[in-house]
Formats: sequence, C-alpha cells, structure tokens
Amino acid sequence: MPLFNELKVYRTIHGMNQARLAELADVSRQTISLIERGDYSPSVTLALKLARIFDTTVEALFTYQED
Amino acid sequence: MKLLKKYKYLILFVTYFAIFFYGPHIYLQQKDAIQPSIDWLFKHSLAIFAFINMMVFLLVLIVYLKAKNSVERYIRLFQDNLQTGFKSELHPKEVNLDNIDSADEQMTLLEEKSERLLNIASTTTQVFSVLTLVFYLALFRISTTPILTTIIFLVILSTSWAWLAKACDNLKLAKEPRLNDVRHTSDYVAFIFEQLDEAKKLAIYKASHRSYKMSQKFFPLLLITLSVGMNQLNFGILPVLIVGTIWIFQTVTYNIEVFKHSKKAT
Repeated sequence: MPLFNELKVYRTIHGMNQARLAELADVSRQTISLIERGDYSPSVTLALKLARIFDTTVEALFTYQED
Repeated sequence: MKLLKKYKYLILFVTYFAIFFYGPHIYLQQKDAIQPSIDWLFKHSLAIFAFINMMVFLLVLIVYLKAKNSVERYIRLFQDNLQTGFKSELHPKEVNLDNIDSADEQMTLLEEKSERLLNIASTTTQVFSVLTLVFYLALFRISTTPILTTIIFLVILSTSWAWLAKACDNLKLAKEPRLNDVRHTSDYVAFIFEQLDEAKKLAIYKASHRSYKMSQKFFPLLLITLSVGMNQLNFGILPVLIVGTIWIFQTVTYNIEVFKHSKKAT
C-alpha cells in the first residue's frame, strides 16, 4: 500500500495512546492500530479528523508514494 | 502443490463422484460384515451425539471463559489508557518510536487473543446449534432412545448452545464501548452495523463477499452431487429442491442488495 503515515509520531508527541486517540476520533482502537501499521487507508473524513486532532495538515500525517 | 491448487475444484468434484459411486458399492459388498456395527451406531446415534455434544460444549465453555478473561483485561487496560497521557514538546523528527509505552502493544496482543478465542467459540457454537437440531430431527425416528429422553436432551442442548451464542455476542459487544448506548435497543442488530466504524465495516464487506463467492462455488458442486445421488442412490428430489432453493434465495437477495446500492450511487 503506497500510503505512509506519521500517526504514531504525532500520537507520541501529544502523549496519546491508541485508546485515547480512538475516542477523540470516534473510531475503534483497532482502526487506529490498522492505520498505523499501514494495513488500512482511512477515509478522507477520518484523515481530516485526525489532522484536526493533532492540529496539523493531512499532508503532514499521510504521504503518498508510488511503488 | 501448485497443481493441487490449480485443480482443487476438479479434485473435489472427482472425490464427490468417487464417494457417491464407490462408497455404497463397497458398503453393499461388505454389508453382512459391517451391518451390525452400522445398525448399532444408528440405534444409539442420539445418545452418542448427545455425549459428543456435551463434551464439545464443555470445551467451548472453557474457550469462552478464557475469551471473557481476555476481554475483561482488555477493557480494564482500555479504561486505564484513557486516563493516562502527557504533552511532549518534541519535534516530529526527534521522536524515538522505540521508547513508546508498550500499553498499545499489550492491548493489541490481548485484542488478537480475545478475537481468536471468541471466533473459535462462536463458530463452534453456531455449527453445533445447527447440528443439534438436524441430528435430533433427522434421527428421531430410527433411534431407540426414548422420546422423553430425546426431548429433554434436545431442549437442554439447544438452550445451552443458544445461551453460549448470546454470551459470545455480548462479549463481542462489550469490547465496543461506543456501542453501549445501542446495546439494549430493540432493533440493535440492524442498527449496530451502522454504528461500526469504517475499518470494521470494510472487514464485514470483505468477509461477506468472500463468503458469497465461496458458497457460489460450493452450491453447484453440492447440487450436482445430490442430482447424481437422486438418480443413482434414490436420494429423492427433496434435497435437490432444498439446495436449489437456498442457492436461488442467496443469489437473488445478494443481487437485490447490489442493485439497491448501485441505484444509490447513480
């Protein structure tokens, strides 16, 4: 999957664990875990929501790279 | 192995045919030798099945209790994790991911363990719920077990499996704190899917589609086998009709849903 993310990094900076981030984003903890591992690409809505939680841009959180 | 994978359906098909053509042939040849043991098995089938059923129930109960323990630990950890937190002043490039608290990893491990155990418990529960009804209704007449005993066992086994199925469902829901509000509403089964988040919905879509595709391959094989059995072994037309009806029902309901969704999309 050519989508890379910095979710774990931003989560660490903000002192959040997956459970807390999941609660703020209104998704399950498993979804956060899947996104971090790169096993799931979030919807645009969820990506925007995550960017807003970390007070950053979607581009800073997610990067698309061709194989 | 590659050849085996490539021709797996052909092999399955030939095996079905071989069983239906040669199985009864061998049975008829050695009928006198094996007849008493076959008769004994049929006569005591309900008692044997009840015993196996009880043993499996106890095993599944142990698996369920282990799953329950994992889920409870997971929920406790989840609640604890919601309380903890800190604010770091680090720049994203300065973060060392190796130093992150292992709570998330612990939760992932617990989650995987509980999912695995719950899947084993609920799959076995569903299989044995169906087997219990099928066995008792099909073998009711030929067994020598008294009617009252049969009814008591049927009630006990059915209610035990039904209770276990419900308990597994409750345990799955307990892991989802977001669904707590809708758990006790009357139409929660329909509502719960809409409440799931996007990754879980995708998992359900994938699982349903895969299951549909698999059954579309299985039904024709079963239908051909039963048709051969109908002509060669006097199976009767009823099994063919039942499997055909189920196949048509599944195909039609699937295609209606696909049509509804494609209509929404246009």
